Amino acid sequence: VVSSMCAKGSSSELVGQLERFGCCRRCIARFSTGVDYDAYAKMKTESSDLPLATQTRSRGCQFSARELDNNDEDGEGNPKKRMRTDDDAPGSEFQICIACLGLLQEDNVETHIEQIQSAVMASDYEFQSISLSVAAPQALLVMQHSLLIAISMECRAAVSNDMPSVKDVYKEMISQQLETRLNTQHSTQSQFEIEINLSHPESEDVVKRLCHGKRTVTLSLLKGALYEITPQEFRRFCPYPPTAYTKACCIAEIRCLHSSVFVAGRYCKYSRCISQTPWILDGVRKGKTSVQELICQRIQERWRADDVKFSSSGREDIDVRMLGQGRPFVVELINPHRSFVAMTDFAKLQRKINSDSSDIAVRDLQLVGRDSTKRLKEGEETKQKTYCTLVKVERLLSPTDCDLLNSVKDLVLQQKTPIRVMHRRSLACRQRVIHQMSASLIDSHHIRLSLVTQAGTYVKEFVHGDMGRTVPCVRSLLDSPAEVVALDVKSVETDWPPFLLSDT
Amino acid sequence: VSSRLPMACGALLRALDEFAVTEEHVPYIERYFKRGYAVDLKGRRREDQCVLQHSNRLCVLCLAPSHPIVSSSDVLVTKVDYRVNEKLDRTENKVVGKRKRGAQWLNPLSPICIVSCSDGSQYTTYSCIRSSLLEINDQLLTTPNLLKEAPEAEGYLAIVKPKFDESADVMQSLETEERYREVCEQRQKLTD
Repeated sequence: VVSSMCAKGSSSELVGQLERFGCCRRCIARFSTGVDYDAYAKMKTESSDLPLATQTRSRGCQFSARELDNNDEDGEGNPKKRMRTDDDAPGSEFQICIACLGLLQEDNVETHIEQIQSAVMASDYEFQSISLSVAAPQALLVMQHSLLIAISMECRAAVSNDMPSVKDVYKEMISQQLETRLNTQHSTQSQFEIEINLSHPESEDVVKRLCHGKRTVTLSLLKGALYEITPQEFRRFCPYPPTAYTKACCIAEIRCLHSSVFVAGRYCKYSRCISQTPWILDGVRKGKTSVQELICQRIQERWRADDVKFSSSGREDIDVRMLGQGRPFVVELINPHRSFVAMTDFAKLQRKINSDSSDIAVRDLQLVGRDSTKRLKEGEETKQKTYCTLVKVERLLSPTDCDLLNSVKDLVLQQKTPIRVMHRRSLACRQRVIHQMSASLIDSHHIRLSLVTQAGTYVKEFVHGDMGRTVPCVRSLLDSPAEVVALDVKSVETDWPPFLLSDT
Repeated sequence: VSSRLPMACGALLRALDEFAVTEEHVPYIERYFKRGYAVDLKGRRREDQCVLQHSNRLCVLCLAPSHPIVSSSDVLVTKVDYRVNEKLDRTENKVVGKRKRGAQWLNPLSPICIVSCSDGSQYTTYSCIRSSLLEINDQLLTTPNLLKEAPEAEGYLAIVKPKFDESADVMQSLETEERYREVCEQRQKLTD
């Protein structure tokens, strides 16, 4: 490839050459003067750049017999004098710059900015700042390559190594304009991204042919091809300097995306008829509704998110209540359209969710960071749990049976995968600990049993024994079949998310 | 609420209220399992077995209460051997991962284990349904008499998994609880 020496400052020879080739003012500035982004914006031309006089001359010198098909000509080989862009307002006619394919030419820039501005406003997002991501046509690299060869052959001027790319200048101009029009700041740290996909169908063929007809051309593939190709070979695909196209780049797609927002809290479940997440078996829903739906609906509405993901620090069965301070959960809001939520709004939201349904309650609702999933899982796997259960025993009981259970301290269990979850968990034997128990007699066949267990202990199986696959168990300790009538989770000891001073 | 619950003393009622229990308690097996029976296996009289299908479609194979091992008094189980022939040892069954790969395949008359009793008698137990073997009951290796003491609890024979599409069919191929009771009654009449 043409190597360039560092030589700043404009060279009139270079400028003249580029004008003749068919470059617009901003592109000429890019090649010759170096980086000064503000200047580009100011470089508005009263009419479009590339006055008509230049055109005829440039058409003449670009001509080569092989490139006839690239040009608009009439049948006798006479070049057409004026090229039109696609998005032209009627009456304005100018040639498409061979370096930027129209991207930096004023009429186009103006059109693009308007399109982007209205797309962003129509998409209706709240954002603190914006960031821009631009996908430019790959042909720009080919044009650049061609120009560098042409420059090196036609004149002795050198091109700066630091010269800004079309994309850099385009991005800079667009973001400056958007900052003003949307009344915001551009920042690379921004949570709101505007993705602009540009396309230039006319030049796609050249790119494909350069890459030997490969179906998907990546930037690195193209760069590699350009690096290796000799100027003579290159000329078969594209002349140097390149011939002008008839249409400018246009915006193929504008996408707006706000990064995810995370809302955490704790929930209590007071009903024995609702599952934690929606449970649908063979098309039939089990349980009235779910904790997930009851919590997420209001939150998703408030943030106007496209989607939500609910996760929690462990979970309880449909017929088990979650009491005490509740279980930590996190709601991830995907692509939220609203993000200006004040502290007082959280309290309001919390009250609304709680009044919607008596089956659940939430507390400590707050914004958290991306590390929230990690914090959730930490709690699930390491923290002790406290339960209270109503147990029915087959044989007659007496207070001494309670003494037996009360004396348990750090009882080690071997639990094979319970039959009720064997269909979805791998078969294994897990060692778990019952740290302590507290039993009181209700009547001759019923006990109220509190237990503190290691995380991951199957409490129901500890009581009935799972056909001897959990050893020891209440059934074996009392030497009589025993079953859980009702089970409550009293606490899942976690200090995350932070407890908030509650109003309600 | 209390009208749906059986007569109970005050303390229990208060406890049920405290725990917000609104439904009558259904015993474990009845709540989670459906029953199916195979009678006179291989034409041998009274060699009956029971299949308990969990709501997650896994099946627990057991002896039925009418099986001689369970019903004959004064006879204890001395040995349960999962090595059913020279080439096949059920204890070597290895199942890997959530998909349960590598399990031994069972047809209805595939032997599960050979049971020896204190009076010298020997019985073979069978799968009764098409399925893959997930787990044998290693408690029977150390305490074989569990077969007799708790055939539908600690004394189960094996846990098996029918093919997903066949999970309803396998139970259809067995006798219902009602039909099983009828069979037992008829046997009773014959001996009387």
